[in-house]
Amino acid sequence: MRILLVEDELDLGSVLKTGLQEQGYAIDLATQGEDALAYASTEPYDLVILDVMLPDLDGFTVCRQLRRNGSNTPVLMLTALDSIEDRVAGLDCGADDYLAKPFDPRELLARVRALLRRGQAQRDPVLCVADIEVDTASREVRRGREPIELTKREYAILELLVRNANRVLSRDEIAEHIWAFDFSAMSNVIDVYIGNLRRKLGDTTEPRLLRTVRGSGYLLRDSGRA
Amino acid sequence: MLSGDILRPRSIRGRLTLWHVLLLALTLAGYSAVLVVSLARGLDSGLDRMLSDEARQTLGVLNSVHTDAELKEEFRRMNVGTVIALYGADGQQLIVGRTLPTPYNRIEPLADAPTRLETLSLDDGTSWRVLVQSVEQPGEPPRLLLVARSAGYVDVALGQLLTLIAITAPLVLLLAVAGGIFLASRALNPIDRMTRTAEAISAEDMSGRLKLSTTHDEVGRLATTFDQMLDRLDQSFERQRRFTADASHELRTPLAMLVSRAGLSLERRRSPQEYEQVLGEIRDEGMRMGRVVNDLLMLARADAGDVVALCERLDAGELVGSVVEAMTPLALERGLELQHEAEPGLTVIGDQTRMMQLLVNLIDNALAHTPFGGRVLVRTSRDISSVVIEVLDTGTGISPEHLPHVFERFYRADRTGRSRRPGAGLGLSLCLSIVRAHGGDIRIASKPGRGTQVTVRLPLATDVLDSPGSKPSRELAGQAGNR
Repeated sequence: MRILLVEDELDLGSVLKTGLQEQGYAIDLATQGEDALAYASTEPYDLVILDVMLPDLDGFTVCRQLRRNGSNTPVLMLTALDSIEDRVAGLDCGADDYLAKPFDPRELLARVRALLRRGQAQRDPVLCVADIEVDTASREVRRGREPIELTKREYAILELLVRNANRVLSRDEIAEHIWAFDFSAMSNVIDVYIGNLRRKLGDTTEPRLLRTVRGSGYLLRDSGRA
Repeated sequence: MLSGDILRPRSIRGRLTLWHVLLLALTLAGYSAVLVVSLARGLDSGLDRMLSDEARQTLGVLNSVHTDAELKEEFRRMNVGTVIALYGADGQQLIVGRTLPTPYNRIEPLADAPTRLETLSLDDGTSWRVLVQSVEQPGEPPRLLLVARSAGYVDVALGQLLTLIAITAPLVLLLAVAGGIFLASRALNPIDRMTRTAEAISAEDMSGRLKLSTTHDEVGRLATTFDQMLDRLDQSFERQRRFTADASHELRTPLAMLVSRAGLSLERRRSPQEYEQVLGEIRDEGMRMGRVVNDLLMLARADAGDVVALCERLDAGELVGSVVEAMTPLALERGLELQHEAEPGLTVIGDQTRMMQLLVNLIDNALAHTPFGGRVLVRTSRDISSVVIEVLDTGTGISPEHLPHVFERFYRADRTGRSRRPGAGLGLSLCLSIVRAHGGDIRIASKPGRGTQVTVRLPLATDVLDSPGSKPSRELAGQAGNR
């Protein structure tokens, strides 16, 4: 899942970025409202975490502009202002959730997970495709009853494939949702990850659940049959 | 204000000279004082000895001559320049050889000592040294003998000495100032030269050097160090210049292509198929540029120490194995054998994606430079506290003149290149950045015609001590704080 983090306070921004990265999210950090709008117009973010106090535009304006540009990406507002009026203003300008500083990082991560579910119109934190179960809250993966050990990045790719089950994902789409800006020429690396997932899921015999679609990308199917 | 400035000059030269002169002036003053005092003492004691000698002679005369007239005559003859007189015990003058200054018409009787020495300064500016001694002769009442000499020559000698000092001391000090300035200039001249050279050096022209290495003193060593620093700076500027030139070239070529393609197709109406083809080409060029920009961005991140996004414990053999497996179809396509040998159970801590990028790059390079029928072997092993990953190929190799430069950005061994491979010569620079960001090192050895061996060493993860991700987080936080 790729997240745009908009925070002008570099210390906090960097701590949040690191913390989110450790959860396997791909993070782009913007420090200004204009930058945030530019990033959001080119990259397909799954979530925007938006600080209200920014040096140029304020967070409310950025959020309104995002919605006006037709973006449906969930927005989580962060702010030091914690009055009822501010919360109402934030939610009314198009934000999906509102978190007042200071906050516990665990609460932030939980809200991020919840918002990512909401973006997918999904209530149950456990996603299932065929006999693969992905628990998006605890980040545990099982096939049948067997727990599967994945690295954080492998988990992120599997979660993306599961959320987009029965849809072909191009390598570019996968790259855009899994890595931040500076990863390039990823197609080989994505192939390596897919190989890892197949091996760990025991998906090595035809017909495969995780299929390569020649010239397009990868597809996770609900059932092994054609 | 002014005196303050003089006492605290702003140049080392001035301060050195000032100290030099101050010290010399102090020495000179002390020396002169000692000289004057000891000369005065010497002269005084000489005069006193002379007076007591004459007193002794006079006593002899007193014993042999009896009448006052004879005595008076004796007193006059005895010694030119010496005044001799005889007084009664009460200080009343009895006989005098020569006229005495008025105060000596009568003298103070002796208290209890047998002699008395005194100096008398007169109104006319002369001074006298006077010895008074009691005379006890059988058959005579006790009397007092006075012997006196002018002390003028002592004053004259001291006066001459003081004059000499007063004339020579400023001259010596003047010489010292000149000498001090000269010496300080000699010692400090190289530093002035260094200042001028440093002022003349800019990023545009770094050719200036001090070249003072012939002298091996402190300043010579400083100059040599300075020159070496300039060399390093020069090289780094040169690399920077070349990098900028190469980067703009790499971006301008696809950009020119893009603009001319678009311009050409806009010249007249074209069929939808033609537009489609041109747009496809433009997209491909754009993606090529995008890759270069991404690589540059990653290198910039690496320079800022921000390459590792997510750290985990990774099984080295599994990691290498998965990349080898994914690249095997490519190897087979090119008629190459790709093998993997791994020691099991080796763990490294790192960013899985970066590690994969590193291995994909290295294996892809090896495959690209190995001719049909060749072999690429990837070996993972342990060496004390390192995990060693070697990529060996039986390819064309790299000639020795290119070898030291292959990790430089945009460097291409085959500049006239047959195949323009994507990545624009940044591949190995990226590898180097990734390895360094993980605390490892990378080396390359090659024999033209025989093959190339790339060796990557990464720190072996210890069992529990390192908690994954903790180290890079701290680095990131630290950087953010410093910004």
